[in-house]
Amino acid sequence: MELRRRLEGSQPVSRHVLHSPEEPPVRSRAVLQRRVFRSPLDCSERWYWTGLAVVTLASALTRFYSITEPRHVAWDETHFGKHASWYIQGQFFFDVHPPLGKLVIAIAGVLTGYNGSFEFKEPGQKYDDTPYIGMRVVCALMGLLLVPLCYLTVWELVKSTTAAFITGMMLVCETGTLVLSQYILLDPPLLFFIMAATYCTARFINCRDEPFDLEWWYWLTLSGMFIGCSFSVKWVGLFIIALVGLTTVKDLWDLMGDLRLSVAQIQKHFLARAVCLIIWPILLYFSVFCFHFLVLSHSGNGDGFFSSEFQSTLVGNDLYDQKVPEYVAYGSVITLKNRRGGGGLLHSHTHLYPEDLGEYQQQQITAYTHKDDNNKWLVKKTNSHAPLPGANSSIEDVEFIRNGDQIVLEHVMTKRNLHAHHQKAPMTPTHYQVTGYGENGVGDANDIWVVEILGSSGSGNHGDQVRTVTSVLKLRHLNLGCYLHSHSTQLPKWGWEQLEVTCNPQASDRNNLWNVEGNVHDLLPHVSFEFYKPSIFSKFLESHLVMAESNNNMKPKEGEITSKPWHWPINLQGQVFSGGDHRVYLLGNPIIFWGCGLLKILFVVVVMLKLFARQRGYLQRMRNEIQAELDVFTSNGLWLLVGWALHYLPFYLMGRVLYFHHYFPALMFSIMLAGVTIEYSIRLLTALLHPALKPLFYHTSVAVVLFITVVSFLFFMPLAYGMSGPKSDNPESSMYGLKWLPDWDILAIV
Amino acid sequence: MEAEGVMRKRLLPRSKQAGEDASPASRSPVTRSPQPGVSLLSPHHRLPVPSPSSSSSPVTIWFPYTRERPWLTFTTEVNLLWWLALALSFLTRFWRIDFPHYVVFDEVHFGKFASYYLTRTFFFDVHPPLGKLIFAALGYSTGFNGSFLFTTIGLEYPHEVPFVLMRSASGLAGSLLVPCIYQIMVELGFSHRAAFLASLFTILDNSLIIQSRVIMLDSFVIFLSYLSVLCYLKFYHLRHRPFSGEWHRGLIYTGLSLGTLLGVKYTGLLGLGCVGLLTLCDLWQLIADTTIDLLDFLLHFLLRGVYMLGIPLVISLILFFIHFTVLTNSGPGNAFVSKPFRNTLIGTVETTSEPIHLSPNTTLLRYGSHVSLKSTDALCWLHSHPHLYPLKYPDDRGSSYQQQVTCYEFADINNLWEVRRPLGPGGVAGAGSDSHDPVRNKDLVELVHINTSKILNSHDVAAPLTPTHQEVAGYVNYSSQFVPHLEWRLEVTGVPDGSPVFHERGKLKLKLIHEHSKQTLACTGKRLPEWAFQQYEVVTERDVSSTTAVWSLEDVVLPPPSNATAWAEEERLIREKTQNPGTGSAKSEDEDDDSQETLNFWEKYVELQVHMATAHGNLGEHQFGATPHNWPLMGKLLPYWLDEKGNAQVTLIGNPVMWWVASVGIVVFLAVTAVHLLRRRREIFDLPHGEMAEFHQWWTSGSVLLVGWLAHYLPYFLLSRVLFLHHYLPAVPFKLMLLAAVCEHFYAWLKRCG
Repeated sequence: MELRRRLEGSQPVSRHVLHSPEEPPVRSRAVLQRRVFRSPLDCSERWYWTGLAVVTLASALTRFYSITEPRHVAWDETHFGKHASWYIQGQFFFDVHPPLGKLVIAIAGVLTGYNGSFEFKEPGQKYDDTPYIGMRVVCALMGLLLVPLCYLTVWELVKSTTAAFITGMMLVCETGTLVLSQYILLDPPLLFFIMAATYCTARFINCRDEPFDLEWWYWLTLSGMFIGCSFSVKWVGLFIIALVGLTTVKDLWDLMGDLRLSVAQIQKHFLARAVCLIIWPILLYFSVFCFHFLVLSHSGNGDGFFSSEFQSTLVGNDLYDQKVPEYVAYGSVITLKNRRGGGGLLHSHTHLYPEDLGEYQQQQITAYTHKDDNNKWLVKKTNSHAPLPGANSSIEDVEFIRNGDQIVLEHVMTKRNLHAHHQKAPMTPTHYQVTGYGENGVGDANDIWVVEILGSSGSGNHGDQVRTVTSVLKLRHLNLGCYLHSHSTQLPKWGWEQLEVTCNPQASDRNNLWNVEGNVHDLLPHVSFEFYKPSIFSKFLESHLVMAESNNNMKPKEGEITSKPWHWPINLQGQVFSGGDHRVYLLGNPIIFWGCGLLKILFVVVVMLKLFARQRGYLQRMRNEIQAELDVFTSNGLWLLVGWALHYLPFYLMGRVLYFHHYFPALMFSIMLAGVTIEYSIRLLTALLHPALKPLFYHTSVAVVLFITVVSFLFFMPLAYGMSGPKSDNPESSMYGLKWLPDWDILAIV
Repeated sequence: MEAEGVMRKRLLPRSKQAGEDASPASRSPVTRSPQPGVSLLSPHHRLPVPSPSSSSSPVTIWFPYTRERPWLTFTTEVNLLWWLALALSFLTRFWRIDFPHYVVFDEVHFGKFASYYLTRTFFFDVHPPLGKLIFAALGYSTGFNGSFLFTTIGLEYPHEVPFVLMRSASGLAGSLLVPCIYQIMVELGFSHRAAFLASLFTILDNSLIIQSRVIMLDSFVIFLSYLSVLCYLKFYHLRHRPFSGEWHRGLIYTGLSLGTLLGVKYTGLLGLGCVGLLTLCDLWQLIADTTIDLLDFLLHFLLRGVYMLGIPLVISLILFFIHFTVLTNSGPGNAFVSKPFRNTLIGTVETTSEPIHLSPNTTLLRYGSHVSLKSTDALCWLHSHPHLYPLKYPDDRGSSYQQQVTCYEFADINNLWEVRRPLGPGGVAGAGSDSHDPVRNKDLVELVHINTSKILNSHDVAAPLTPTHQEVAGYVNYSSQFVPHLEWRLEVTGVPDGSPVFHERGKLKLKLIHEHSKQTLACTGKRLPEWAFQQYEVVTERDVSSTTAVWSLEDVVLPPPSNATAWAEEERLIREKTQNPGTGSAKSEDEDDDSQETLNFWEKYVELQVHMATAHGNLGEHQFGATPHNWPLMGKLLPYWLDEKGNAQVTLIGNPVMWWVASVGIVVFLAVTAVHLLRRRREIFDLPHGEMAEFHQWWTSGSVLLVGWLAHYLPYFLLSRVLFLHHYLPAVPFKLMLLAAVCEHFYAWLKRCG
């Protein structure tokens, strides 16, 4: 059958050609014949399918068991549930992650009858009648599929049913993965797409003997699709792209060394991969975003992060459908938006700058990305005694603001004027400080700003009027000659971590540009005029700018429990998932975590010994089968190790706040490596024994490994499935005795 | 230059000075290149050496030259390029080195430390002593007495401060860097043309010039980093003669330069790493050599380890020995080291805020005593001050808004607490709260903070950093929902319940169990944010056996007794009673006086290393701090000094043209190498093969430079402390050398094309 053909016909997946050049690998010989010990399990197709069925079934049982518990919002369900609700209701929101994962959850919700009305306010909120199960089930389904994917990948790499089965069972028994699979989170789709991409790549590489046939194209396209999907769920999908990329580069490098191939053929190889692994995922990613914009057509709480033009495309936003006057006049109450990507609205509040920033302790001016009454500014004339048109004035009294006018901006809520003076700005010492100054709108000459409109030619004509949204403004401080400026620098805690606003002496800085976003004037009519609607492409770009900025600004808050990357492989600290009357703790199965760690070390030692032996010339003297088997083991193990490292080490470089669950993509590779290493070690030991003892030893050892895995799962299961009843320091409790390390906050769950 | 090239190809044996045995040199089959500067060569090479074939020619030459070498003669060879580079580097580094006459940037620190050496005042710094000792020695040689303390940037130097001489030390190191660069290029197999170009780049880099003109350690670090690479390369070229005298000497020189490098600054570890990497590559090649058996290989491995790690260790010990010998007076460093360490310093005066009341060996602990408690785990004192916990934490948890209780590493008046009997209902025995009865094990006590009169309290409120634990606070009575739980059970291990507690300074270990929650007072070792002045967090811990919960009783001050003799008699009786057989006692049997305990050199060495290693992380933010990704393109400059009167200023800035071009050069190097590799994969060979093996040279030598640059640059991405542009400087010359290599490669390519 199909499997047998592949098993016996293909060569081992050896990415390192370690054979001595005079002895080319025997292509026709089957993998199995090279083994020092052949288990009947590995030879039979029946066992292959049985193994697959068993792990899948075990996975389904563990993942679906008690999936309805807890019946309240757990941990980050509060975010992703909320996002799904917004998708269902079409309300625009902003999140640092790309849309696909949340879209999947939302679609799951729609299909299972959830209407988006639940608010997912905070962890612990009761679901009551909300149909949340559907979303959990879809997530669990993707979590479930991780196990067969791991099984298949390992088989694809080393062609051993035993290794694949051990890997599958280890993953089934890994309580941390189990917990992550049971909730409405981005991790199940992310892990699923990453594993699917890994599997497809392994399949694709195994098709190398018959390039450009249907199967080859099929797996190549699927690899591309899944890496695109991974990246569309979270940007950590970049790591699987890196792994697939490195694999492809290595593959091309091998092809280049094959001088039988013409350059044209290599170009064809290259182009096929470029199209399927670069262009096709990008298209996919882009279309996910298009869908995202299409669904979120209504105004929501994410508006403030985006530019005024962007907002004008959202139904229900003040800028949609011309609900504002066209021009700004004296007496208008406006909001000013910084035109930088992700720029905020000019904001002030009653808090003062701290004392140590200079002699003047005046009111803070910041930029704020949320809509708020503190963003409103009244446009006044410089002569504060000049009356503004009141309620009973007529439209003729209204005077519009023109290019070059001198104005004063009064903060509506605190009645202080926008002010700048000869003082260093709090975070940027080369700029001047901007403050709120004055009493009841009466300030001094430093409150005067000159309006400069940028036309298409760079500067507008004198006498141009300020149009809402479309006019690009600069506000020049009359006395200092500097320009109102805002950038991505955050103020510290005293400024509520809002963005710094300064007065920049450099006129040409791009961040000096502002536009009027809100405009309220009692007398002016809401004239209809065309806004500039951004194209889908510029919307795409803009949302990426905002996402990148928010990602960088996700610094740990003071006092927050943060997790460090070195905690993860040793399972130092878990994460409380759910408290209240049903308590769940995210913690890896320590036996599997520590076992994986030890096996990783063992693997590295084996690789180093092998390299040493090769460098010294010992390896070349070994029997061919042993060499070949060692090659299959080390080269595939190395691939998995690189996969693990790529999904793990980059976190050391990240400044943003990290959590334990970031480790789980790396864990998949870690478990696969562990499975491969265990099986190989057992097989190697078996080879040393008397032939009569071989099968007994081999199968007993495998059984022992499986037994330990399952028992450890049964032991730590209560953490994952949660518990009600007495606290965990009570011997009656199901979590009693599980606190092996002092940092496991199991006791803390109340 | 042409002559150089010719000479290189001749591969002539090099002989030593007249009178020295020339045999080791003549055994060498290949001399890679003549010495730059002056090299003493055998005079033969200028003369046509008669070959055996010429003598067999049919024509007999009548007047053949004598083949004898004239007596008392030597021939020199002067590499003018090398000298030119040296001269230029001295010129650029020393020209107007006295400008400005003011304290510039970190001269504040290193000048000050030199002064401390001269006044023999103990100080604490994260860098090892060598660089500072050099500055101090130079100061000493001119009779400077260390009275000027370099307090702020911009301070004008008084007449007696030999700042020019001190700066010259930096200048010398900076100037000698250039010949090092030249020679490294030559050792790596590049042409003298490329070597001169690299030196020129180094000479003309502004940042290196600036760094060579201030009293800072970086100039030494840069010079010594490159010197150690050079020594290693010299040693590497002796690999065909292992275990010979010269080979050992090469290793020793490498070890010495690494040792001095690590003696100046611990960032020298990057230089060590760089040389270490080269060594590992070398050893990897040796493994493949089957003529070396494994024992020999082990010897290779061990000898390198011993020389390259052992010598630096010895140097470090010597330096710290000098350091401790010189710094005999107590000073600003006292606060950083332990009490026994301080005891080795002359004139240790405890800060006035720390009342030292030394009790004789063991004393009875009585109620009413003022005590300070030190956490044995975090080594800090239980502390409180009149500041409250913030009403809300950033994650929206609330606090009790009561007075902060923290753990503070320094002696302070706010570390003092009064032990008294609880005043709560039913707590008071008839004796009243003001009686000075002995404290007995497992007594319930209250701890009252002396300065603020707040009582140590704990309640069911989450602690600031460890929300899983209870907060500990000084109780403020808001008559709100927070009920005071002020009673703590004092528990001394190994003493029977109810037995009186005898204490000895620092020796008595105790726990305080909170009576209401049955949890124990503990310091988590986490630093609180600035609202608590970065002191450590104190909480109650459920696990009463936790090591974080053990406190030692330090100072104990008893109010003057009203009836001293009665007290003494009482104490004697109780002591006798407790010392009855069968009852253990809290008193330690140790007889020597704790306060006089001192440390020997080794203990001091270890303690100081630990402090230096842990102190690095505590530097705060800085306005001109720059992150590593800013460095290669010089995104942020570092102002060193600004004249307060005029416009004059000193700013650390690289030569922008060269920095930017060199940064591009790295990319070009990688691209060119990639193109070569790809073409060679298709068996197209662009570079001449033959004995030169040009591609191999390009690839290995270029990689060495690239790895050097990376080794001095990448590790900074992992550091979370504040960094400045000058941290990048040790990596810069590698980048410049790589640029020179790339230039040469293109030059050779053009020549081949044209």
